[in-house]
Amino acid sequence: MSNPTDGVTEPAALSIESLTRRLVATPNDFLTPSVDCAALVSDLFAAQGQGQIDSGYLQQFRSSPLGSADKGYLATVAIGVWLLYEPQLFSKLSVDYMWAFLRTELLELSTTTLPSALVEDPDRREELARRCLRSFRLAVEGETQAQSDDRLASLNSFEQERLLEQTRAAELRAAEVRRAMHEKVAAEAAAKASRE
Amino acid sequence: MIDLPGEPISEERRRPLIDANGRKLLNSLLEHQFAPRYNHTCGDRLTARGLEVLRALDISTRTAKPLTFGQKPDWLPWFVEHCRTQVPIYRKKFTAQTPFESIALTSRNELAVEHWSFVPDDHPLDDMVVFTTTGTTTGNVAYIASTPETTAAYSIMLNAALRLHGRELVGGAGTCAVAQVCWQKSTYTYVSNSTFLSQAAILKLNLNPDEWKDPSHIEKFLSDLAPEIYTGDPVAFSHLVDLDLRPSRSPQGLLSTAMALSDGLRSKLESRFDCPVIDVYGMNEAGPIAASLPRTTRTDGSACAASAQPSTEYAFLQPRLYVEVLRPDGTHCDLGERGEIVLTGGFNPALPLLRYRTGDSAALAMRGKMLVLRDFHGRPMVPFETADGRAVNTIDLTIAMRALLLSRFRIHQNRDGSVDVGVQWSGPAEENSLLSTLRNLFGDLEISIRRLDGEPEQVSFSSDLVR
Repeated sequence: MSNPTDGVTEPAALSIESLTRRLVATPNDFLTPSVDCAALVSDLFAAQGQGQIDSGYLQQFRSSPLGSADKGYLATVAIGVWLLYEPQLFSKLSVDYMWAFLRTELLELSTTTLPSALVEDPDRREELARRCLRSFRLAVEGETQAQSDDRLASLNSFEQERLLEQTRAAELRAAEVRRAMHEKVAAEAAAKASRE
Repeated sequence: MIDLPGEPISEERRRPLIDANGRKLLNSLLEHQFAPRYNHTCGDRLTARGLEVLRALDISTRTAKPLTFGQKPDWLPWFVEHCRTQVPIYRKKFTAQTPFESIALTSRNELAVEHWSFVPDDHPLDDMVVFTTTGTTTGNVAYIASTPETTAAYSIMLNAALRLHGRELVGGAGTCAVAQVCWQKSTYTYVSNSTFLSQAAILKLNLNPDEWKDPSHIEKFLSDLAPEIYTGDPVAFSHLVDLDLRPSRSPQGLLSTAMALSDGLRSKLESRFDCPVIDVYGMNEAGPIAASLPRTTRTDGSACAASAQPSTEYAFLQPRLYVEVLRPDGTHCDLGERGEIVLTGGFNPALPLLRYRTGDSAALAMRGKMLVLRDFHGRPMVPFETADGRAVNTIDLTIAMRALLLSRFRIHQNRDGSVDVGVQWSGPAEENSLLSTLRNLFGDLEISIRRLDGEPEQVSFSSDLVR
């Protein structure tokens, strides 16, 4: 497998569009909350000719490392697995990078991005496609490595900026509510017919 | 709109829709020769838009289709999505894919620590009303954001409780609809009018004689007032029952709130006032939740003679409150199995409740086709007394202790009247202040103070006295 680290566009490079088209076509089976991620991962390794996977590894795909209430990571894994089956990509995958993609890249992505956005939002689809190629050391068709890095960084920074903006807005609103409640608790209330 | 602490709001905002009849009644009760020394001013703050909201809520309360066991209400998905997208405290707890039963429960202490996070992002702050509640397990005060419509809607929920007993709160110009009675060392007392109840009066009164110009005025004033309903806690009702009242009309009902009503006091009140005495289960965060049903009911819904039933049953009052009863592991209890009451929904848009733990326990049961609460254990009434035999309300103790730098406390009164107090200081110990606070409430009784160490973190009241 080629390792496009020299800024050369290789024949092995993949088109981002074919990957994002695949994400648009994610079937509902991969989007349901009850999807069995461990089974999907096990099947993926089997399809790559890896035989039986250690059950301890698969356990990592039965619950989110972010806590039992978090279903975002597992839903992200399901979508990521669907992407890996894109025929051209599938033929170029190296299992050496598989765990890093599933456990590190997708976990990081799930902390900033809702799973649904990976299917519905064009920028987030592109981000997942580019993160995927980066994880597997694959080049993007028609781009130098530097161009690919820049594009992914700008997608990331745009998302980070959006999150920062969201956090700033939330903090501003919290301060506004705190101030209003502080003022009104000492102010005159309204008549109530009973106490609890 | 900015409300400055301690500054009264304008009369126009206080009573936007008061008419000539309402004003006349208000003035007559303020200037009544036997009136108490009111110490607070407030109105219903209802606008025309607010009145529309209330009328719609009243209709839905009367027409809501009751749920059966295991059924989720139609409005639940919309409400959950509202909480996820608009309410900061819930936003971080779950995603759009999370099944309802997996959404993390919310505790009262979260409200005490982060009350502002419960106010939805799209909720206007202009006409917010804020109350405080004292019932958190650490003793910290929790702030409750509310609205004038929510506050006025208490009448709708109390009326729903009355209808369970074949009675109705009507209101009307020149009448008193609700007298909320208290027995406290001191509390806010006021007279207000209700636009929703056609300009009828709503009063909050303290039966403590110290709050009146002359103790004999209490009976004269209440006789003249002749309220349609009384609301109050059992401590206040245990004083009300002994008053010599001669009103022009009997009340439609007495609605007991805040703590468990004993069967003995209920019977005494029923025979004294010749009307239903209804135990209302509620909490500041949710308002009135459920009300006791007549002990037996004919198929047409009317009450008949009480028979020996093992447990009082409570019917739900609110049209948009989903009640779960959960085991300690978070799974749903079976029908008839006791667990913790957990609430979702409510009628306060400033404080949407999502899987909110009440700390109270009961079982869900079916009474005919009606889903009810059974085996409910409310907050017990704890009998405390002063040196000269007057009742001390636990709410007075909670409020007084709040002024001290305590992280928790326990108060126990022994049969001989002496008081044992356990405290954990959150700042420098101020035992002299604590002692004078307690003397102010209990009078000249023996009071011993000890430090709490390694005991469960909760406010607790207990007493060996018998009432």
